[in-house]
Amino acid sequence: MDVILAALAEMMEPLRLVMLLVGVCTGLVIGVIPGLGGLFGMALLIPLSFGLDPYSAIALLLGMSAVTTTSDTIPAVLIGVPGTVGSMATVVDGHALARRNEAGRALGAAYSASLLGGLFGAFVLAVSLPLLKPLLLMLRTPDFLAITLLGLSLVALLVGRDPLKGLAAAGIGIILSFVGVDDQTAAHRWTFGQIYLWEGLPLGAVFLGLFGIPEVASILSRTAIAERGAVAGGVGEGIRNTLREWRLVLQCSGIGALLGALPGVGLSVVSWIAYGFARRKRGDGPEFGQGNIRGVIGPESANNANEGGSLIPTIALGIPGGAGTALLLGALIVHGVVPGPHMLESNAPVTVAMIFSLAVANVVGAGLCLALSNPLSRITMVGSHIIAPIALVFVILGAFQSSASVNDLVVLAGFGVVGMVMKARDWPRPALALGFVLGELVERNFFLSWQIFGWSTFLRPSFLFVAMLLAVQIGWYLAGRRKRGPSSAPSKARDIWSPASVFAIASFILLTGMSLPAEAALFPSITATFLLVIAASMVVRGLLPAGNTGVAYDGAGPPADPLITPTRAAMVMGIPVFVGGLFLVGPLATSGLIVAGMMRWGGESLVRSAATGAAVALIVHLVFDRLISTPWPRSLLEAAGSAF
Amino acid sequence: MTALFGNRARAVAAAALVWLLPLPVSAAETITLKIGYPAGGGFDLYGRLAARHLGRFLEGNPSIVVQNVPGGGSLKLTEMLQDSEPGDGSVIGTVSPTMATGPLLDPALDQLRVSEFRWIGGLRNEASVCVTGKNSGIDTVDEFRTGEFLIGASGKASTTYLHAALAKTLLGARYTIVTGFQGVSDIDAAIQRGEIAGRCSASFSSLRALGLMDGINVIVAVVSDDHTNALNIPMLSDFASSPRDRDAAEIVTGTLRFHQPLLLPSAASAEIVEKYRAAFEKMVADPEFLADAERMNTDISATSGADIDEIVKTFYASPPETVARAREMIE
Repeated sequence: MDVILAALAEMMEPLRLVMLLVGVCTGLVIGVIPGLGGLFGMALLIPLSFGLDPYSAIALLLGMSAVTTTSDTIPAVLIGVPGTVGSMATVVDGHALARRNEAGRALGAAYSASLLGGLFGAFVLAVSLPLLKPLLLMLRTPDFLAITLLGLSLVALLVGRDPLKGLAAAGIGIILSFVGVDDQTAAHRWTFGQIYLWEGLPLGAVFLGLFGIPEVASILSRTAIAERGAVAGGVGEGIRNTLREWRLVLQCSGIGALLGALPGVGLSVVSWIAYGFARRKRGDGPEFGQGNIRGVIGPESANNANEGGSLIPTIALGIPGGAGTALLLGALIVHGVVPGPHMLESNAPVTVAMIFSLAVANVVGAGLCLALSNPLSRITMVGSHIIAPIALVFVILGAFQSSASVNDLVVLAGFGVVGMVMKARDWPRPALALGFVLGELVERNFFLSWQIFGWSTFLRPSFLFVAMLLAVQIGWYLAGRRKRGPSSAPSKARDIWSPASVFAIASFILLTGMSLPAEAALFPSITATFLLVIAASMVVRGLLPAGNTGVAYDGAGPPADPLITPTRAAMVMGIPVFVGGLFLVGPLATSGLIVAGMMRWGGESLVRSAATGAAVALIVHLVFDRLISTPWPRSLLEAAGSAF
Repeated sequence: MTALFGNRARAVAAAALVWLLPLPVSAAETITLKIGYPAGGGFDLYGRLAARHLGRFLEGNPSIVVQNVPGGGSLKLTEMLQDSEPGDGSVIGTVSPTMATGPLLDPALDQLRVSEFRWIGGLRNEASVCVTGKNSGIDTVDEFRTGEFLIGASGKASTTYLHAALAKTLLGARYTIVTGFQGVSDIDAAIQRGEIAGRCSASFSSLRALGLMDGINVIVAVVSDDHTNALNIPMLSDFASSPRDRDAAEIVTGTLRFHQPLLLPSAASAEIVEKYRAAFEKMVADPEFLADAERMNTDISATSGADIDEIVKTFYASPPETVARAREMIE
């Protein structure tokens, strides 16, 4: 008890509280900007922490990293663009709520869930440090494999109205995760001679394309983000929703903290698994994807609890769970704090200070965001010709942060098109996302388990448990389907393109995979074979007489959108225009001109358009030049300037 | 929106746009230090340390921004520095020193033109050891040679694999190498869990800095230094059965004598290389730099760019049969 009181007294020093506040404010800003995240913030603040005492450094660093997953909800809900990878799942229902003019409710629910999740994570860290160390040491690689397989099974909950399309999307996501240099054999898998692809497709650019670009295009096709008039409730109602769903908050916080403690399981995995978990029950809200508040509360409570969980192996074992905690570990060592067993003995005050920092940062971060919720939710009423270009510029700049390469923008545009097609044809993007974040992890854990345990991998209790769970899940689905009969109305049109696309992708993988070493080709081939089965099922379903199909394109489901609309074309074309501008006049002028030009095109006055363009350029300069020092390519304007 | 744009605000915004249009976006006084590994590891740590100080010793005191360019154990950045990065001094990099012997040891790396590498200098003369967990029951070199157990490694091109394979050959050991761990942290976690017995390519100074010495046995030094010698840790080269084996092992491990190297793109002129080498020499002797390094628990034992050139030349002057033996040892 004395240790706790002594540590709390240390943390109440004014300088340390100020550092905590500085960390929280920095984290909130980083969270709002798409493409940046806690890892970036850590790299930014660590050099500043060297001049501080250990407690102040902890306050600064943990204050920042605790809240990036709180403020990342703002762009996710309001614009449909995730601020960090942790809020990707929040976009699905959070932005749908904003479109129903319930942004205040979504933000209120998200922040209160973040707060409770963050506090839960800190609590788990506090009580489980002595307990979790032996548990972590008991786990084996096959257990990690079982957990990742369990996560992948949640695809079943994300498949949407058409299970075949959902499973195909998940399979394609898994295949995309295999792109890059294979660790087992050092073989290059679908890198097409591009060094850029050696490390795989960049998560940030892929998800900003898949989710961000279609949503921004969708905003542009309306007059404002919100589709209808004011709705009663707002922030207060969102908080009440969270409190009513306290069970879900606890469950998803538990998922976040537990998965955070496991090696290799990142924030993106945690948020999608929590979202899948939340989707098990619809509650009294609308369908998931249409603005169900549980779809916001689940991932938001999990991604904030994740931070506490991720610190457990770092503190208890001295082994970082991810890149962010690896940087934190380095910073602690600089301050003479060596993580490991001593963190519960001689360094116990430091551990208490970390828990305190996490808890207070979550309270302050969520408090600040809640205070801003009502004014922020009014953004949904601002004209789309103002919001959409600003959002587009920040999506592009965010994607560029993946590896500061023009290739990031090619990936962004490519997945932007994929995202739009999937949205228009009612393909579930969350299923692809979950496949993408988990595919490589399943493969890695399988090969490690196989080398260490051989056939015994499949006899581990965790593996047997997961296999049993999956069997029950499939049996329950089939039994329910027989009882319900065909799940929906017949297809109104023969869909040839879906099976043809899936068949083409699967065949390409199988044919090109033949030149790979057997180990490198194993998982891609299994996934491609699975896709062939899905494509065949789609064809069979299409040939069956009307009434025997399992899919709705009319009635229950929304009508298919036209594939190419002027706003979608404008969004996709906006990216090459930006790239052209980047090389001609640089990022600042390009950002300003795109915003000003699109506003003017939307009917805004010249002065107002120019002023907004200038303000955006100024913000881009302050954030991406002054704060981040982004290595932009050299523009012609700059070259001409230096020539004279 | 009208309320947001008063007349004064409009004037300020318009002035800002006029000011920003011609603003150079990549100021000439900024240098980018590209690190061939993700944030968090040893290369990142040393790279950021150098980025904080090197600019003070260059003309115009430029600020140095850090960019992580991970890929293929830094092969991606090595190729970028060789083929596409500008040689005007605006970009420098830090990559694995094993790139210097890449074409000798791996035919797949023939594309690397090592003679064109523009070494600035190496920050560390690294002692590298094979370790086992205290829970493994493998305490001595003899047990390490004769036992049947698992040693962890990341990718097949990584030093965790190459050093484990080399030690296995020179010692005549019987252990199996498990590949595919995401990094050394994951390998260390698996050692703590008792799933695998140990790993090679462990930085001796990092083990001490991270406080990991309590839980491990240091079995053999693949590359030794004063610290390992003082502790009487056996040297791997002493187990070589012939002078040729010893020379071949030197090709595999000798690059650790210039660990955490900084280099310029191949397009850099001799004049720029000299400027950077001079700045590097001043930096590694600078008390402020050394104090910062000590605060971070990092060892600095620098090798000059010219010395690296000489070391690399000796690798390439090896007889073909020694090179062939080196390749054979790490298969």
